[in-house]
Amino acid sequence: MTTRFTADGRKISLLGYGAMRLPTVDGKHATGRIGGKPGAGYSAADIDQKLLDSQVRLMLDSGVNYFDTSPAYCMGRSEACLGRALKASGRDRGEYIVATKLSNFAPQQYPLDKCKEMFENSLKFLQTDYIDNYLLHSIGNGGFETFSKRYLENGALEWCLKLREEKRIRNLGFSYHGDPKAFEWCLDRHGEYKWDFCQIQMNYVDWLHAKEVNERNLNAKYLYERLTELKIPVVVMEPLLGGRLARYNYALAKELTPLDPEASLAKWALRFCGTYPNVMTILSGMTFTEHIEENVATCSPLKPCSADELAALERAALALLKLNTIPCNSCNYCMPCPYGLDIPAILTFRNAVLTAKNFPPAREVLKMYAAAVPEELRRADHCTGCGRCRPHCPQSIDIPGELAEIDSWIDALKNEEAGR
Amino acid sequence: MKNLVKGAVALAMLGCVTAAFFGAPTGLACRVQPAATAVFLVVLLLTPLVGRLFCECLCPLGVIQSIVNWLFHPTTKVRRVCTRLPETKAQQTVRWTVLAVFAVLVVTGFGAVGWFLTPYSIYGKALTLFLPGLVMLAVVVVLAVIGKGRFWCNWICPVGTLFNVLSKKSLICHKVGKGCGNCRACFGKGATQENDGAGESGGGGMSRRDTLKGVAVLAAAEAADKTTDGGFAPVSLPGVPARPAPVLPPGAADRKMFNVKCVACGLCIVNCRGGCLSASTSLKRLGQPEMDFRRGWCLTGCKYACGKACPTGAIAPVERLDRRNVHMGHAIWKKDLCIRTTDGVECTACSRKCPVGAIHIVEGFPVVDKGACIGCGACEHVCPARPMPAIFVKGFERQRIVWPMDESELLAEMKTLVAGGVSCVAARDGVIVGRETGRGIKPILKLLAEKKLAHALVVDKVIGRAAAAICIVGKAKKVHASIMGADAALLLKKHGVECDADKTVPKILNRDLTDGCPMEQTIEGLDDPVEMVKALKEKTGL
Repeated sequence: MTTRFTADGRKISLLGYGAMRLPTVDGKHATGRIGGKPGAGYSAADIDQKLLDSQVRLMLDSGVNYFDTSPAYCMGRSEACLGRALKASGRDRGEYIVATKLSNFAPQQYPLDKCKEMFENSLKFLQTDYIDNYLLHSIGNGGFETFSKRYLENGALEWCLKLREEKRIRNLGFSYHGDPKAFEWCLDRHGEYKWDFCQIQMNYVDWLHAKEVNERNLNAKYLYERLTELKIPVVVMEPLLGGRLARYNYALAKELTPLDPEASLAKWALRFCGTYPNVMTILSGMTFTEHIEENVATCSPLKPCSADELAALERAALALLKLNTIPCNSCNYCMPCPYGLDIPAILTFRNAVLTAKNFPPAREVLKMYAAAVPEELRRADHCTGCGRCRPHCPQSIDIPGELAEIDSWIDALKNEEAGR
Repeated sequence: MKNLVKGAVALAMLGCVTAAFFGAPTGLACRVQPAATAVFLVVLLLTPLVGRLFCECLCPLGVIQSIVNWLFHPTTKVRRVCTRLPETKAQQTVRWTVLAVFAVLVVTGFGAVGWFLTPYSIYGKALTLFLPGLVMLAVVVVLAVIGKGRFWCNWICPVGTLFNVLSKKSLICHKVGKGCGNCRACFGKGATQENDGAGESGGGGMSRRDTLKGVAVLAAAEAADKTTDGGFAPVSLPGVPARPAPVLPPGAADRKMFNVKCVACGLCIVNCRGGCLSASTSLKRLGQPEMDFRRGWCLTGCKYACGKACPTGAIAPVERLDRRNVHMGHAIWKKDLCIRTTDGVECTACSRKCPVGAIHIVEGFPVVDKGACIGCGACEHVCPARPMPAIFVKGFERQRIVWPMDESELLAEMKTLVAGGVSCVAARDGVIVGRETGRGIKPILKLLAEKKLAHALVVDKVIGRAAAAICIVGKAKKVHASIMGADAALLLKKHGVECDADKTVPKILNRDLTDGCPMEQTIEGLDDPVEMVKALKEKTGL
């Protein structure tokens, strides 16, 4: 396992575990979707603790020592499950690095005492008395004003600095999506706050084209270079774009396969991130043991990409952009929709149709839709357009707009079918 | 040989009817069925000559009874003779009582219940798994086993009674000699047939479809914001709204006539492409089709699959009309039930879903344009209000056919609308599909967002380059404006969109006529319509 170093000089595995897509007892995902088929995976069922225990043990045995979670993940169950699994592994607390976040997204969680309560709960659930890496969670989400309310006006940032002094947290950082102003604000005050690391969305599509996906985004290359300049180590999130860069996709395979016919698409995406030396660790939400095995193999040791390979990845990125897929990574931050829609399943289904090599005929698309969202009442036509999902999306997708578009497309297909 | 032919015809007819319920093409199979009026008349005329060929070979229930008999009583060979035998008092009483009840039901407007005694209705309802139909079929089969013959045809079925009377003196059939003492020895074992079958008529009890009523209400938006990610809010089907009048399938022109003509065979229900037809549980329309929008709505792209399937002509085939030309009813909105009132959220589901652009959100309230509404139920289907939808369709007593207008008529109609204050209208396939009021560029941008411009005829008050670009991006076919900018006309023609105007001006001005139009200035210098629309959307924030 390729290793790098944290700001406080500890060895850290290049592959990290993101506990956002834990396995459930019904063989699915606790958050998000898996595999090639949309809708195959999401579940609100109990998390499969036994499987998770064995996976965590396998990761520790393979040299993975970075575990990232949040109080918000998996309907709030992620921290406790990960805590139990780490405990069950029987390893010393010093052997692994735990990261969790101050995920005070809802206004009722803004007050400082609520933040403190969240931190204490994290310690309790993770069964530890200190957190290695603590993050301000998604600082640009909802704009700078929200950032200010969540961390500045309530004194949460000051309190975090104090926690670091008290060694109750070892490293302080932030994860960034959304408003660039929040990112710049934090970096401009690096001298004052001394960020120990920063978590950004980085992959070969966002490297140069994040701005094309959404006006508001900053390209990952800019973020990376800005952080490297300030000597802040980078934690990579969404290296596979929620599986969009790992699932079979003709446009990607066409560019990448000729260079290394045996390599999976996921391997390419991880190698891309690992090529950059200031990347401290790459987080992957590996639901199944096979995901872990494959990614561990990719990173043991990670072979950096050559210039030719980087060029091919850039071509692949352009090919993906051409498909105009919806940039949904099935993170489920938008869920639960108050009106019961299965938003990520609908968007993932749309992407699956767009990425198919040959555009499927109407009947096939309708079948895919029925398989992706089996319950009619959770499909796009039941969107009320209330827009409550919008501020939660870290990718700033106009969810009601996309759903309306998907629904009118489905209606056209239905009418086409009915007219036969 | 004769029996072989009869058997083959019988099985073929039964097969045709059955197959029609399982997705077989309904055209020919239905047209040759005696349920179709013309065929029925032919059979009626043939009966005095050849006997009860309807009950024996054509009627699905008759054939089923024959099969049951063949299975249970293989030795009773001369069953057929029984109808020629002198009838017992009890048998006669049952037959004529049932017929009398049937007649009374039809005359008093409960025809739907009356039809319930007839074979196609029973068979169709049983095949569509409508509970009373299944019960009736079971009764028919049990009676056939007990009665050792086509008991139902002989003594209960009103259609059977008709043929029985007609065939009394038929030329080609078994005759009973004068010396018959009605010993029934010819009838096989267990000869004497006691008939206590009186009171077997009637339905097997009504099943309530409304079991969904009272199911947990959709979790209304929570007061506090969510704190964790993932999970599902519970969902439930809405209840059936208390419709002032049922919505009948398109082509069922007149409610009263439909009620009389429909035998409730259920073929339209299994053939419905939108999945919205279901059997009525109302006593007066028992088993007849009506719209239930919980599972779907009447698709505008459907070519009248229900009308094509209907064997009796109760649903008139109107294939040559666009689906949007038949108005089945119109939507009614209830403020108190709407989630705008109950949850305090902005909801646009009904307006967005409407395939004819008949629901407008005006000052935050959905307003139904009843002249444009076709009663398809799409709005009712998507309405999130629980336990009852806040918008539902009321069926018309007589469906209205709005003939498709030719282009000149349509243009005249649209111009009238625009002169009357509507700022932008779009029409397609001879029907107006969208209209918007408001100032500036927003109305037409809205039509673009709703995809109402594709292949459409568009009439707008003022068309400058901005509106022209929107029409091009929306793939409009033809554009007409009261006032059109000269450069806009050039742009439209360049992209192959036909256009004309009442008045052409060199430049579009702003509202106060002091300067150029701000929208036109926004796209100054741009040449690609896609980019222009992007700039306009940014400028207006839409």
